[in-house]
Amino acid sequence: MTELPFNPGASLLVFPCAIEYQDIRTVWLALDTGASLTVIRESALSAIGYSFKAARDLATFGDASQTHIVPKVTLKSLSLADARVENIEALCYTLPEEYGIDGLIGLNFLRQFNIGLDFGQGILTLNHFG
Amino acid sequence: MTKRKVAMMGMLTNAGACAYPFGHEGEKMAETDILEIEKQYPDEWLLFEVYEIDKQGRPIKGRLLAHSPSRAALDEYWDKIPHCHHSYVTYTGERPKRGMAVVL
Repeated sequence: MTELPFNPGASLLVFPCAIEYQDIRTVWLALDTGASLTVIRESALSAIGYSFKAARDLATFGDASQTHIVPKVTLKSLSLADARVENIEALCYTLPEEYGIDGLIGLNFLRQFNIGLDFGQGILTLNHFG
Repeated sequence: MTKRKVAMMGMLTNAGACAYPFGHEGEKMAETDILEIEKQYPDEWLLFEVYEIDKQGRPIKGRLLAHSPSRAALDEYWDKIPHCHHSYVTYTGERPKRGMAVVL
């Protein structure tokens, strides 16, 4: 079981996550049960060796205000502490700098686990199925 | 800040000033405590090479490569230096900025 502390009063629930392609970068992602897919900033994907020249898959997604067509990447892995998912898809999209994060942890990661959000104690728990 | 002052402390990118500590040209700096370094640069974006992480996956030992109030400046700087295998980018201010509500 993975247990991570968070600030229950924060505007965003953010966690350090390791994204891996050829290289690894640890970035801060916001947990978002409203996001179908994980979202990662373009420059963070470039930093781990992803080449946008080789991008073949595009995906359409809608946020609160508009629709975007963006590259879709398959990461070697995404890890939140020792909760790790391999070969996970992520959308390439750069959120506003003012958010202070590099992307979102979406449902395609979260649904691999039983998740507990204890706002009383500020603890996120993840239990991998099986 | 004048262009000359920026040049003395780091580099001027299209997106703003980006400073780097000594050792950016290949000199080996001693590994540092990342949490201690973060305290020295409030409300800035920091870029590290990572040497060690804790059980929660948070980098704890590493080498500061650059820092800037501008994330875009940090990204431009990264594009101009030799890449390391494990890097870390963090913002030392509030996430999101104070007074901002986020609807994702």
